[in-house]
Amino acid sequence: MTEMDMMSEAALLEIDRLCVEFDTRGGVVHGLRGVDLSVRRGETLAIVGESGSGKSVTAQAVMGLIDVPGRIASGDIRWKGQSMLSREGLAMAQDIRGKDVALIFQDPMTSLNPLMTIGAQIGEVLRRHLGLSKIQARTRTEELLGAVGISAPRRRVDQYPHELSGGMRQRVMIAMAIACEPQLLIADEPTTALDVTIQAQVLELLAGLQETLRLSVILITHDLGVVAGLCHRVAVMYAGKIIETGLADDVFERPSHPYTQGLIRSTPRLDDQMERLIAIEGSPPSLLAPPTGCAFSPRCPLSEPKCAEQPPLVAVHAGASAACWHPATPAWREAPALAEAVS
Amino acid sequence: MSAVLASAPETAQPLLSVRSLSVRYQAGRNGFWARPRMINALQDISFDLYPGETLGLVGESGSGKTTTGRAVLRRIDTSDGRIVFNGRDITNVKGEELRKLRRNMQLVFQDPYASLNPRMRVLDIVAEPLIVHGLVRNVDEARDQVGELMRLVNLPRDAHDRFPHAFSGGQRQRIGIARALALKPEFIVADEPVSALDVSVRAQVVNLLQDLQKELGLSYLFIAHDLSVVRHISHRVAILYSGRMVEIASRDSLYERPMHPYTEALLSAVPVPDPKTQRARKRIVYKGEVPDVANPPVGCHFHTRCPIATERCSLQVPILTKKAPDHWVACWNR
Repeated sequence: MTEMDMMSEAALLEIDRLCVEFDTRGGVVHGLRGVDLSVRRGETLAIVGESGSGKSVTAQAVMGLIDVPGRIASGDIRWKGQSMLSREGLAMAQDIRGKDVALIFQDPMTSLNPLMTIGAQIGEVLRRHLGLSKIQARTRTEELLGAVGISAPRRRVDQYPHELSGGMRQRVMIAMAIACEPQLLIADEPTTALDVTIQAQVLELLAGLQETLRLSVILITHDLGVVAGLCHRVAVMYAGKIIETGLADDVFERPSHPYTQGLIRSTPRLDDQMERLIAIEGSPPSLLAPPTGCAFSPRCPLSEPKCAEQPPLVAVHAGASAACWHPATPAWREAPALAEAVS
Repeated sequence: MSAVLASAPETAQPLLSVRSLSVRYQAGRNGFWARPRMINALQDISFDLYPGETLGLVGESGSGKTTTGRAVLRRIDTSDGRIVFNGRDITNVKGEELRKLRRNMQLVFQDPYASLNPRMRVLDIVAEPLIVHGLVRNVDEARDQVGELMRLVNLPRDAHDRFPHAFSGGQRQRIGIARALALKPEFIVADEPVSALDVSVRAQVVNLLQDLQKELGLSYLFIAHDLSVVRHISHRVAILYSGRMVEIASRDSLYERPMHPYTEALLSAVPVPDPKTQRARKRIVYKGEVPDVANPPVGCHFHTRCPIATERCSLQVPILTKKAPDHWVACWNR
């Protein structure tokens, strides 16, 4: 599917200039500073960013999990064109969350109830949203566990979370998330807590489910490798804003924003030997008092006076947009030789 | 710069030699009168580390990476085997001698948020090993040395009087590295030193570790689960699985010609940040999970998941044997 075809298809979820703020003792933390996103049917969108960049807050906002001291300050979230934040939309949003939109958390141990059996937890979802009877719920739970690749589902139904391994628990979380046949699945760092070989199994499962159920997926991660294998489109976040977005192939091949370029080149790769990694010096800004201009400029090698003004997110080439005054300019030279670096 | 770089390992004298190292933990008992259950965390591990070299130690959780690091630092007792450091058997060194030995071997921790005391100034943190080992009498005498260490790890000199909370994750890890370097050790165990850091900051710390190695001739035992970082930083790499070493080889040999089926699966599971390459790669996904260390299978620990397992694998433990120059594998069928 080309970008144009995707554009013509109606978006399932649209996020429009969303701002989220958190009141803290130190002041107001601007967690999201105007985020625009859309997800279409059957598409996998990756949100990439470091800790504090706002990727999880975006997911929480969609799931209605922003609670005091946080608040949605402005902007809108629309499901199939209808606002989830307006007064009329609230009831609909309540109904959608957990049913049409499901969330998988990073750490399956803390998101499963340790005192309830697996069967009871998945059954609860089925009975609450689909109104199944106890017996129907149990049968369906067994089917679901089978579908996510858990062996001997009949026995597993009556086990508690602590009896399962990390990979199994994440599979249970996925089973719970797809229990109501959602249209959109938000996976917040679904494999970060898992070992590499188990990660590969879980990613394979997600890709398979997406295909068979025609799911839309928002995958939130900091691991560029995970994105490359699974996603159609990528949005890169930095300090509460999306600074680059586009088709995964384009973004990886021709990253436009200096931050994206640096991120890709600072990651050691299994298939490529670099003598020295490109290091992005410094660290992300505090969101207590976010900079008015480009938030990356203090760390950016291309920084100039104009960067004190916030660059808009504009199309750079077909399939990709970036928020930078110098998009698509190679920002990072080869790393300096050792002698220079030490002296 | 030191002259001892990663020179031909065959001729040099190893800095650290580990032979048939085993570590057993006691893990509670099934009843009051029952004998305590023993868990074999490490079984029969052998390797050499040469001066100026980095040995990457890779494995999944529970494979024994951290236990290996702690055992060679003599922070936990070994059940079997020998550890030779600088030509001297240190397996049973105790008391004052052990304390002296520790000046030469230091540890860099994984979590820079948990490993620095929040109530101590950076100066106190970095000067502490100097005071403990009696090299200086008080913090003021250490000021110059700490300043030099700060320069070495690229921290601003005025960082001295601030507390850890004032620093970002990457800077904290530099403080941890400065503390490890304070006693001028030859050998550093770095236990997942970059896994808790953000992607853009990881490269800073990896580069710093490499620069320090070249400048000071350090040897690293680099423990990590991230195969890409290990490939970047290591000269040789060892793979652990369920408490046993399954493969050890020079870096390029291991990554380009892995021999153990587990290593193959591990390498193929690592995602590459390039969509086209990633789609073209063949992924080997083995069913099942790592066996429970308290109750491992008989024979080769991997045979329950292994596609080329034969009857012999479920009976006899494979021995680490040399299959190519600087390439050792523990597998009956390779």
